Amino acid sequence: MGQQGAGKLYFAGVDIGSNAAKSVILADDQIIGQAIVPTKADVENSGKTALKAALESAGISEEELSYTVATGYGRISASYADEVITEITCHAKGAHYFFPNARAIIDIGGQDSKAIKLDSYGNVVDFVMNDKCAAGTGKFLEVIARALEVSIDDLSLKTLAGDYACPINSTCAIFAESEVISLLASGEKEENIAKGLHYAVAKRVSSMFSRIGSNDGDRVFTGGVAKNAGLRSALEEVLGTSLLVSPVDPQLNGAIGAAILARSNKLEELEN
Amino acid sequence: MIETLITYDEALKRRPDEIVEARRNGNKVVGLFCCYTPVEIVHALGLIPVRLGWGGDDNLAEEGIEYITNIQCPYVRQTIGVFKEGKNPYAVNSDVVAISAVCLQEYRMVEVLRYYFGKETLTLSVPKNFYLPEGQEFFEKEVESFTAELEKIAGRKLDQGELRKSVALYADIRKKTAELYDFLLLDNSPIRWGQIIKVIHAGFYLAPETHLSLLGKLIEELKTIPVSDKVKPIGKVRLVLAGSIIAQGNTKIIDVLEGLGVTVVADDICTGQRTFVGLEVKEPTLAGLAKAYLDRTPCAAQLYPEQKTDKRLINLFDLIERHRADGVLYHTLRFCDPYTFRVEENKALLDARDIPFLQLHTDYGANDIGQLQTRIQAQVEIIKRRKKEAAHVGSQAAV
Repeated sequence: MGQQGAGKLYFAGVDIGSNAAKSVILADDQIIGQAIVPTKADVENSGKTALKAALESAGISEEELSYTVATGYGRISASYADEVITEITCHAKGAHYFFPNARAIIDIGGQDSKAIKLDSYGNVVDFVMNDKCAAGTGKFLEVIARALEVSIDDLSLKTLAGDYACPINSTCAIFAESEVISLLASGEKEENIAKGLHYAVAKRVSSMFSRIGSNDGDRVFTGGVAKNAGLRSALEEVLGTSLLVSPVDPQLNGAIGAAILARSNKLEELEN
Repeated sequence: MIETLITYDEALKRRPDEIVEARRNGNKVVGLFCCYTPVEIVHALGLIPVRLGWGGDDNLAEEGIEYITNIQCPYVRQTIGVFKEGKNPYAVNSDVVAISAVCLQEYRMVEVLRYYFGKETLTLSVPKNFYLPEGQEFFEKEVESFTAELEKIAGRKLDQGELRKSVALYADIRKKTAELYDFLLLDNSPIRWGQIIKVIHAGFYLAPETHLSLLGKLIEELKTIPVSDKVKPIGKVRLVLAGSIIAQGNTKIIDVLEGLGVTVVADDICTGQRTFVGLEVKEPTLAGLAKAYLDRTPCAAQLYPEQKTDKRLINLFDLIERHRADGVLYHTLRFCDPYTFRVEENKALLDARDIPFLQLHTDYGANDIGQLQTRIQAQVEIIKRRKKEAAHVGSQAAV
């Protein structure tokens, strides 16, 4: 690629999560391509597949890329990337891209949930991440949806139709599954159970949110689970605040951040 | 390649046979737990001291559940598992197991060793009011009766001359270990923290005379290694690792940190730097030992009522300053309450000084390694950016 200003520069971000691999292509600072593919057992290949699909949607070839940043738990197996950056840093940049006033992020992915505090430049100031337990993650919702024999989307819709949030005491995915089965057996409505479950996740995540201690600015909800309207409304109620969700698929937020960092790091390299 | 580290490995390989041979010749081995147990007395009585306690093996930790619950810390569970398995030469060859009762879980562990495995055990009570004269008086008497019990095992009385020699020997070991840590003060140390920890753990098993001689050799060798200037200090993130015990065999945190290229420049761990920090025996007597051990930089299970006088916090801030650390990683072993209780306090105090703090809550399982890597790497990214910004501001100010 030529010098800065000698034409458009292309950058890629690849976010390999536990459930899905996401990729975004930037032309300068505009998104021109994107893709989401399932993460398979071959993690390295899943990232490559996502990148390839995003390049196709952008209509450019891999050789035209100036710089690629990989993120997500599969970032370690990303030989195609120029740099590897954690999804925490990437999510902050991604949220800042759409919402410059964002000062806090809740990110819920397949196996992680995180609360991130950021400054006015989109830099991470502090973060809290769940430990190895699946409570408060997409995996939790998946396990429960299976117990209720519904899809994740239907689980979310059911929440909105619930009369009240049936209390769920277990935050462990395995225990919650047993609790749900007992509630069903006792004749509780599925909608109320679904609503209760989303509240249980929301409470779990809100405690992380309070630990980062962010009181000002916009709050942004990112990650695949941000598409779940039921959980979003439960979180907003528990936190007592509205949550912004990116106009582009929130599941792409990490990949967008990675592409933005690819751009800024490459430009910095060119300057020096 | 550091030659003396190979010599250490070879000495460790020989050690079990040496111990078996010594026992055959009538010597007795005392397995010690916890850093509040005065090793000098054991040595001065002609007994063979080894420090026990193991970590890092989830399967052995599972074995321990048969005797205590699964909500006990994995270190305690694994150590019981090691005794159950009956293969570890230091566990098998310990004629007596001695513990200072600081951590309740570890104390219960020693009870389990007595009840279920028939081990002879000795307990040294450590007062919780250790900062008061009453506590010190109590501990002095405890050390006396602990010594009387050890004398029975040794079949002889404690000789003051021998005690003096043992006190001097262990003081030398602590001094040399401190010198070893001083290499970490450099921008590019010839030895990594993970290697130093292995040396300290080797010292738990080796004859103290061997350990001291090898420490001297190691330091001399390190002085001959030219200091590399390849890595610019600004690109390097210097961290202090504090918190729960990292017992022999537990390389999980060390491997994750080294895999990420993180430089640990100091630690606040009872099986690391705290084996010598703040421990100075001024008088080679039982009273002198009691005073020194009780005054040492304390375990988090020993609480000070006031933050201002809390020597553990004072030591932590001193380490950060002396070793020019950029932040603190605070390791809490799952169900290790004394250290977990104090996470928020430590974080608040460090936040107030604008020192980045990250808690690493983990056990011996491998399933959270990815999450640990993400957390540590994200913290490193924050610190690197801050250092870069500070350097930028600094260079602008210079102009």
